[in-house]
Amino acid sequence: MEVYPPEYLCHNLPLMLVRGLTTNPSKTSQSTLNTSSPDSPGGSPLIDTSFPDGAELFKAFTEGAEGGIWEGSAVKADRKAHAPVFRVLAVGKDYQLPAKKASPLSPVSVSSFSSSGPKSPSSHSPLSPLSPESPLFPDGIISQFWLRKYRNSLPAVFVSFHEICTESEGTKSRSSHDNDLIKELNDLKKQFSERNVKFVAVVVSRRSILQSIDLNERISYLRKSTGLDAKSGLFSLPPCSPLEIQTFAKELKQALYPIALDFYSTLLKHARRKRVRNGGSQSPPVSNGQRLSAAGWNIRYEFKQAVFAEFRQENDVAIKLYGIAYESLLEYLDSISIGSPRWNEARMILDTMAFKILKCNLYQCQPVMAQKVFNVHIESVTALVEKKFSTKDTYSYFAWKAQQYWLLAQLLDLVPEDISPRSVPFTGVNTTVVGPDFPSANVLHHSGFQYLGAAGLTIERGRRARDSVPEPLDLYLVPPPEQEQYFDHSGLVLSLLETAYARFNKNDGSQTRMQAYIAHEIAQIRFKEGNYVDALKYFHLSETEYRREKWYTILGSMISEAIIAARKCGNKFELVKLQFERLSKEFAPWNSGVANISDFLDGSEDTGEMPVYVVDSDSIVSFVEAHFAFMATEAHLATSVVGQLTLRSQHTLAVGAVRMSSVQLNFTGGLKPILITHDDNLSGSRAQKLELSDMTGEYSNAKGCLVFQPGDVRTFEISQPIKTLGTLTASSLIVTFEESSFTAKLAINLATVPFDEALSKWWIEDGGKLYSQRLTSSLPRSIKVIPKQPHVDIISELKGPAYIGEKLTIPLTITSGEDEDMRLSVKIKAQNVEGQFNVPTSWIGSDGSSDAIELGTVPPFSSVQCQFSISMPSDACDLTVDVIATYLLLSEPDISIVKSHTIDLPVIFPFHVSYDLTPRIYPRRWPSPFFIYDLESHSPPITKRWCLSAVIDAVDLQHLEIHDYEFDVSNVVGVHCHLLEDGPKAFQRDTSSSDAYQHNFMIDVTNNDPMEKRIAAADAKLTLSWRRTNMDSGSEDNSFTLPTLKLTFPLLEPRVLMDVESTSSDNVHLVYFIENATSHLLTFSVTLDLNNDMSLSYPIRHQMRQQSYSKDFDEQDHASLQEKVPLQHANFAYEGAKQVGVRVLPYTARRLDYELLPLAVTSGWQRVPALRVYDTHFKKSLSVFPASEKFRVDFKTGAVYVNISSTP
Amino acid sequence: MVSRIYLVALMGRENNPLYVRGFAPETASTSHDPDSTDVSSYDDSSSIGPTSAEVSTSRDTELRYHFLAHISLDVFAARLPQKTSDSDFGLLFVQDGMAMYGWMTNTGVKLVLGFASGEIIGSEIRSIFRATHFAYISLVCNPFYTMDERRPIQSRKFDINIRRIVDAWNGTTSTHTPAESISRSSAASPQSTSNISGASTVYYSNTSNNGAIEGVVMSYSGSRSPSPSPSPSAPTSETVMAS
Repeated sequence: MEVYPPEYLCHNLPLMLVRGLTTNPSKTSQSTLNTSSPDSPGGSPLIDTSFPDGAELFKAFTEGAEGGIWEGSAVKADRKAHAPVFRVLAVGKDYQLPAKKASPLSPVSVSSFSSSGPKSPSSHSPLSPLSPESPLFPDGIISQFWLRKYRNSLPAVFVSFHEICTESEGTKSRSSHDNDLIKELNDLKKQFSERNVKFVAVVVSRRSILQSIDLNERISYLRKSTGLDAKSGLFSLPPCSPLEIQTFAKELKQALYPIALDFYSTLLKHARRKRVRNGGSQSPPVSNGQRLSAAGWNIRYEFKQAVFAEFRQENDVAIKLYGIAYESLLEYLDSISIGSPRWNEARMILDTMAFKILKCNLYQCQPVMAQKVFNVHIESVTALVEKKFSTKDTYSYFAWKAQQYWLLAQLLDLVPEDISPRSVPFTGVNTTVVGPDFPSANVLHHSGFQYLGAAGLTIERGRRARDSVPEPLDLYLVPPPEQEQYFDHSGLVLSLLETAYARFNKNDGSQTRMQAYIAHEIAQIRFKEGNYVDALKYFHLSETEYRREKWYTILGSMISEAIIAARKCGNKFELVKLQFERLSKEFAPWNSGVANISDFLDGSEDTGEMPVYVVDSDSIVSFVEAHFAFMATEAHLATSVVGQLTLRSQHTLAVGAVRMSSVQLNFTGGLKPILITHDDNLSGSRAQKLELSDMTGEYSNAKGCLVFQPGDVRTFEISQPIKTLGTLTASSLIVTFEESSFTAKLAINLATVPFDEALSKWWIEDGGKLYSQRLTSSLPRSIKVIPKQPHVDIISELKGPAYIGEKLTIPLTITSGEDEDMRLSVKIKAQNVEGQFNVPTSWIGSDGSSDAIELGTVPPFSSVQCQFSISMPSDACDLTVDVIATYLLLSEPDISIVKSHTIDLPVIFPFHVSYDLTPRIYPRRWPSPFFIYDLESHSPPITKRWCLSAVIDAVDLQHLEIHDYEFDVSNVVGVHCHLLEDGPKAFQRDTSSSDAYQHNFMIDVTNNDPMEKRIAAADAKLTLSWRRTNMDSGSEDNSFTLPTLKLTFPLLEPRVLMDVESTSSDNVHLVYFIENATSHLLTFSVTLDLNNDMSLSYPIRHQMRQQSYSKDFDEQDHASLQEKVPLQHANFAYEGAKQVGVRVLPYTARRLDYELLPLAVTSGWQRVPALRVYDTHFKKSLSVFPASEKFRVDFKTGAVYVNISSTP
Repeated sequence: MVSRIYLVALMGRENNPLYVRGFAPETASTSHDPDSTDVSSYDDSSSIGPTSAEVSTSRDTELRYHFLAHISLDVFAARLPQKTSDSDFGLLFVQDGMAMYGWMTNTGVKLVLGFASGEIIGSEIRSIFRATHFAYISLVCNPFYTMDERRPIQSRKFDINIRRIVDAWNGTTSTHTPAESISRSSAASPQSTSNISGASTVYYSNTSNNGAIEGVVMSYSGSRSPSPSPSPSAPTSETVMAS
């Protein structure tokens, strides 16, 4: 790209020159025509750097396209989205228009325009081939200076910034300023209009219209005086914000763009007219007789037309016009003599035009057309060169061609991804698949391929440069042969290749193979250069890729060179590694002179200490192939596992036998490494059983024959007892080659060794013959070590469930089934089923600190007993108790054998208790209400007696014994509770009905609260002491506290209590107490119920549980009794009030006595007449409560049954 | 100009080479020129080892084909995600004057054909791919051939089949007659000492001058199969079979 003038390659945009914004003109604009020289400084009132918005304005205008090689706004798809783009350059005060006609006088200064004007004897442009001072004189076609003129110096639009004075005082001074400005603007306008350049003035002011009232008027005056209109001639710009400035610049450009395009249209038309006139009015013949032919002039005009079309951003027109010019020039080149300097110029124009057509096609998003243009250009020039020089086999041809590829590559680097994608080799043509019907040469590959092409061509160029050069020589773009000899071809090739390498580096691994190829090419060149360090580096980059996918042909081709490179740069590790790799027979066809292992370092070894080189077989193509298999997939602990290590040496025939010093086989999972050392005395049989010795050291040592002929397979069988549970895996292999001056090791990871059907077998030797068996396991190098089968029985003598809070002792019997002595220890672990908490256990007979107990030596087939205690949790749950017996046989002291036994232990409540609270008759009289016991108290201390019966049942009542209890009434409020301690302090078993325990607690409740209370509450707590009766070893005493019972005692309510004092068949004495604990006088109507119903009696054989007498007469029972028992007449004679009104005084109890005489003597349960007590004041019947357990009351009907004994 | 097959390559599922064979004329010039239609080897003036220049040249040609086949895997990998059901990968890339066309079977075996760039191949190339695929299937289905998908194919029969396909395509327009090609390669190939008859054989009839493949006949008998056309390639095949 550097060899071409930038004007030829860059994109042409309409040129806008901006004057008066900066004192530092754009760099490119300074390089005006070399024929012009700056002079005559201007004296106009230009705005300078002191103007506040000057920098902002300058930025707003010049920002944007400078017109590089690739112009993003020119792409067809994007063009509409872009605002008009100008090439904007800033010029200084001393800017001059390029001279129109060649003149001995200096060019015209714009600012100091003189009316004398350019008066030239010649009527030609200074760049025309007709002007003697032109570089094209006399027969050149066109030069870059012409392009440079339109790119840099001759604008389509000239924008001049001027300040209108708003600061100075006095209208006189202002008007003199304005007049100066008008004069200058008129001068400038006149000068530019002569060249058809649009002149635009921008008048800036430091004050806005509001601040300077006459500003509008003055600007109108300026416009009027200069003839510059408001729309596109003279703009005024008051002070404004940066955003407004940008909008101003944008709108200005928008307004001027069509005018700019018109400017180039005019030029295009002009060129076309000249082309049509075909140089008829050409200049007179020049002195030396040579002049540009008509064809040359045509090309000049065609080229100009194309350039102006490009300025107009009409890519399609430009393609066409450049095409015409290209064809003409190609034809014209035929006529140029080889030695002429015009040859190179014309060639360059030809390249330029091809490049422009190609680029315009890319702008039009037509990569296929672009590639076609490229191909046509190459073919045309090739044909031209062959015709002109009769051979194309010259360095200059290849240099030119490489240059074309390089140029294309650099262009494609600038092209956006959607036109030339980098991730695939080329853009799809309509579809993703480019079929065979499409010419393959017409697809445009991305820049990486072009760099590669350029590199390949540069290699060719370098080769041609060494050859003898045929005469005449084409020297386009190349130095003459004597200099070409010293050209750094390989440097250029390397830089091209490295660029290509970078282009293929996509970081996603998508083009790694292409990179490997380029790396290989770079390595080759480096190697030839003698830069071995770099060569080795690139060989390494390349090798990995080919090794990965087993492209051994390519890999083999580079190993030898890589070895030389490694040796030259003294990288011994790399050398050993590569030498190892070269030993593989895979590379035999491409490698001769393979070194024996002893010659790996070629005598360049250090004389000092023995170096050790460890090479990982995964990083090379290893010639040693290994496979390890265990015979079984599972083995019991302490048994011997049998495994086979199969080794195959696939080294090349060229080195003969390979001798390994040792092979170390490593395991994971509890087996020591096995070290097989070579022994010359052993024969190299196909299968060898290894005898392992020295089991105590770091390795298990064995001896075997480790000399391998090419392709030899050898199987080593090992047998080792295993002493660790888990998975045993053969992990790696280290093959050691000990040579006289160094040691090389090859580490083989058995996990990554590829599956080889020939090796993956189990070998059986039988009668000197070897048979193979298929392996069943998918992972034969691993074996699962499972524990040895235990031969002990564990029996726990636990009956029934466990109870909460219990401290339980569980005896165990462990019976040995082994036929030799064992050392036994037992461990206990108790936890709930969900595993949330552990339950403490302890061994009885041990110190209790450890959860294991040593039971010492147990003789064969004998039993041993032990006990452990366990404290149950205080809540119901399910426990599992694991008993783990671990024992060692005396013959195998290292191997522990485990037997476990699980006891499922539900923990439940030991007892269920039901309570009943019934009233009792207080035997003593209540205190007199007339006596004052306590001054604060309203009532005398009345005591009522209650009976709390507790019935205790259990799941397994037979095996539980309650031997003590504690009963306590606490939290008593308002009353005083006195617990009567009568009778034996033990629960009685009700053997009659069931095994349930029953006990009655008598409580005297005395009202001692000064305030009158209706109800008193208390907590009753019962704690039982109990023990198991079914444990052989005797049970410990446990206590069980029942849930607290809430007791409520009604205090005030009147009640009727009934008791039976005599129940003989002669006389049944009923006693009724009507209690009035209130302070009111109560009146009751009392009736002894004697209706017919009552006179019936029921022989009741029904056995009832005493404690539930209140519930026994439910409806069902009653109904069934009525059905079964026939009615009998039975009458009672009685003594007592049949119906009477009873008044009960406050704080007193009335006793009513009834004597019943059964008339029909019937023993057993009889219904007796019952008393009805009716409160006449409150209109309420009072219930009659039984005050003893000698009779029963049906609370529903109020019927009373008495068990009449037959004998008095 | 009739296109000419210069390279046939098969790559396995794991991108390993199965078969890479070049069919270049012997008298090719050596060039790095990307536009050179003379498909040939690199210059090897600085070749390492005491090999003769001739051997080195042929080896470099072979190597170059390996490189091209290997690079084509990049394109297979890049295009595979967008690929729908069909096997045709079309043009893979043009490099070193070779235009590479790709095809992938359902089992992931990649087929690559190399032509000189700048030529229009014609859609008959698909029948070449199918024929090559068929030859590969025949090889895999052969119960007497132990297939290792990770190793290059070592089958003389397969080699002959591929050569036959290529020669039928290249036809008489080749500078060397197919007979010369085959006999030359047979002599070079160490496996070609015995003739395996009775195995599957693929014949192609070359009915037109532009090398279109029309019919695929499969024969399981060792006897001479009826030659469907007076094409020069069919007798050549028979010659090889008999030799």
